[in-house]
Amino acid sequence: MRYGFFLGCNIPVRIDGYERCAENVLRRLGCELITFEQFTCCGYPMRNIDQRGYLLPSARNMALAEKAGVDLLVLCNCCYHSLQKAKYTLANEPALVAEFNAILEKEGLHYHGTCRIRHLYSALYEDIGADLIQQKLQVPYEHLRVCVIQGCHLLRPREVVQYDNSFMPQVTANLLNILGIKSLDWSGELECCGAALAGINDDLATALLEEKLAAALKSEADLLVSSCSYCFLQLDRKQPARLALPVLFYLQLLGLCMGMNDTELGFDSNQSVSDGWLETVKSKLASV
Amino acid sequence: MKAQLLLGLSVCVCLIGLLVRLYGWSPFFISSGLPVDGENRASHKKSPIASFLYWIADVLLQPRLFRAGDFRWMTHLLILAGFVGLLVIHGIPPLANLLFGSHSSMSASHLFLRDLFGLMVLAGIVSAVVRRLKLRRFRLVSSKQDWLVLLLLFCLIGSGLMLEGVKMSSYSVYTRMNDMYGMTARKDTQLALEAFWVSEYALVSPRFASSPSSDLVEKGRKINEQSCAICHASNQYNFGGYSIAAVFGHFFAEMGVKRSGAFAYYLHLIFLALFIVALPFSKLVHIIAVPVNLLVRNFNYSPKLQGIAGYALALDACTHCGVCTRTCSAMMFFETSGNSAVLPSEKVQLLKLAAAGKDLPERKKKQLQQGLFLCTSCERCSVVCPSGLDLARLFVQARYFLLEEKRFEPLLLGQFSFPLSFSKEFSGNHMAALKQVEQLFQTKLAKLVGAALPLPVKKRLFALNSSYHSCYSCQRCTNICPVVRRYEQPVLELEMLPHQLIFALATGNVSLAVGAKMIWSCSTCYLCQEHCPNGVEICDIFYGLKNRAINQCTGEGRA
Repeated sequence: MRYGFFLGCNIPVRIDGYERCAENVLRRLGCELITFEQFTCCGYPMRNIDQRGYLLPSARNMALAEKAGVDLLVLCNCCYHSLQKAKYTLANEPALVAEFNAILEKEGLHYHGTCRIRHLYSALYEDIGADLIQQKLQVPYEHLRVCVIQGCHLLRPREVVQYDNSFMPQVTANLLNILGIKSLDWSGELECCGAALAGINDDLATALLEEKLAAALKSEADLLVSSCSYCFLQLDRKQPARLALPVLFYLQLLGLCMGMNDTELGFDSNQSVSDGWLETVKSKLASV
Repeated sequence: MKAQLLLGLSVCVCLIGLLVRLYGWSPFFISSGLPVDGENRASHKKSPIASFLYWIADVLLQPRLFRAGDFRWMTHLLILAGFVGLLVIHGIPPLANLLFGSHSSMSASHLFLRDLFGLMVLAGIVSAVVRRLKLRRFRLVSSKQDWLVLLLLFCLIGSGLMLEGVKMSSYSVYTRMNDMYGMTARKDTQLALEAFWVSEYALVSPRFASSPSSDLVEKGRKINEQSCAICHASNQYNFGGYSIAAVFGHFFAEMGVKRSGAFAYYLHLIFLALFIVALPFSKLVHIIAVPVNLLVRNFNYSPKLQGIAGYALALDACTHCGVCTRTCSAMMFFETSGNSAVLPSEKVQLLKLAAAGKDLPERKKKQLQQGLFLCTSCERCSVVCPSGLDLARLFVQARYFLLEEKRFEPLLLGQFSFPLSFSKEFSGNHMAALKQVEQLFQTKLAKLVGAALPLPVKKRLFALNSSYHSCYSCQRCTNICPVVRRYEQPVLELEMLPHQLIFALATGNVSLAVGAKMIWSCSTCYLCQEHCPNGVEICDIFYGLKNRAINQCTGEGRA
């Protein structure tokens, strides 16, 4: 599998461990990841301000991928949503496509709408497949209680994101199943982490975040799994230290099962994960 | 005498200019408070000696520039190496004597190196011009100053080469030289020597209208070897000047040897004086500011800065090379907003003026302020800057510097503010700025509170998204909203609930919907839209309303 590796703005500078982790794990699963220096922001931060400004960067990023003949693999839900939204909107608005292409042609790019946008989870579940992942596993987990926060912009609106059943999502649960984890049924799974309001209405953003953290604690989760840079930054970096609720990415859990070490898996970027805790999780890996 | 006066004066002006710059940089070095490390980046502690060595390598080999592109690196290194070379062998005579012995200026290696270095600079200039023209379509902005500095360099080197050419072809220079150093007074020997110089050294002599015979030249060659070559190497080593003399020699002679000689000499002198004067007052100051800035950075000196003035040193180190702009994550927002201050390289130009204490015109301030907020905080500019500027940190601080003048900035309400919610350094400023926008909305936008009831039914439609027509007020959206359920009295806090907003649109009261606080409390979770039984795109409609609210208020200036 060959993908254009789309990281967005947050991951390289604020969660660089995850970038390393994703590269290491995906390469072991046989993916070829092509990085583009010319990628820009997906446009998401512009969405409150101006619709054209929101869509144009995604059109350019897709045009770059089209030119190289690759599909995009996206690690962040908001980037994923923006790219899919741009694709969805432009499919129905030829006038806007023409306007954007006039801008893109200055640098030799053209948007056709042919590139596919793949969220990491779709790539893992559909392109790579459970069988291959299974083959690479050394050991699965035993008795690990995990709360998944799906991320709003990955699930909805269904006709735009083209991802999973937006009311009863299955993909993440199935991916966790491969690792021997049964994801918990909890109230925060389909809801908002508050990131979209952070820096704009901090009180409300914090309230939404604390609601999720409290619910996860109530369901006695060992850890939270996030699939988005925004959710992760909210849950991991803004979590009150006393809660000590670790937040991980799926690829980190998978990497541990593949016998990879902490540096390869970028745990230095998880503020909520302590060395001691990592040892306990490793002890929950089934003995061979 | 005149020349020394001119150069002396220009050096004085240059020194005064440098002192002014140094004064401008001083807030950085006397900043109060404890040094802070880059917030997210781990600072690597090195020993002082290692730091010093790193600094030397940074300044001389410019690895940062190499990372920005090998073409770009080669261009700059040609200019830098050529210029340093010229300074050593040509600009400081004692140094040249040390390297090449006395009579240094006429030794073969000196003549050759002088032209080699000169041509390196010229090649660098050509390559820089090509780069600036080629990258225009990739949003590389070139200012008048960029072109003028390149032109000045070109003129300085070009006039030097011309001066060489004029001197070489000049008969009066030749005869004077002959009078001073010549070892023979015999007429036939003189003629032969002259023939040799005409034929081989590009001399233009009135005694040889056509090329001299080869016999005579051969005779002259022997005399030259005996009496001249000991001190005076072949003019051909001076290959640049020699080519000019060979091509234009007769033209110079026709112009009048004296006149063209003086002309070339003063031209070179004037350009040199201009260069010295321009050094502290143009982007050429980066020659000093970059090494100082890198030195500071290599020693991890990063004080807590009060205000934008503390960044004067860093800003002066900017060469307007545009590498940051080429990699900027927000570059496309320049295309849709038309605001060049979105591009980091252009932001820096405006900030330079602001840091120097100049009061920018209102239009420029607005442009700069909006440019500062249309930034994704990806920090790539800090990573790629060849001069080693921490642009990302500078930009974050500058956002609030302008807002201190009690300005409104509705663009704060974009998700560009998300990374700022982690920064403890500016949280107070950020909150105050948000409060100001809230006040602006209070006065500029329509509010339900105080509106005459019952609301009239208007024909005004919301064109952006017409899906609201299918709403039948089942209130599913409001019931599932995670924000609404946070409040005991949601109507009081949010002014209008989601289904009420949609109803306002349906009755044509668009302005009320635009002014409602609800849209700025929307967490954009899309639960309402996903659950709407009639397919009303509620969340997307909210985005459209937010766009309109900001659009209506971006024209506002001060509070």
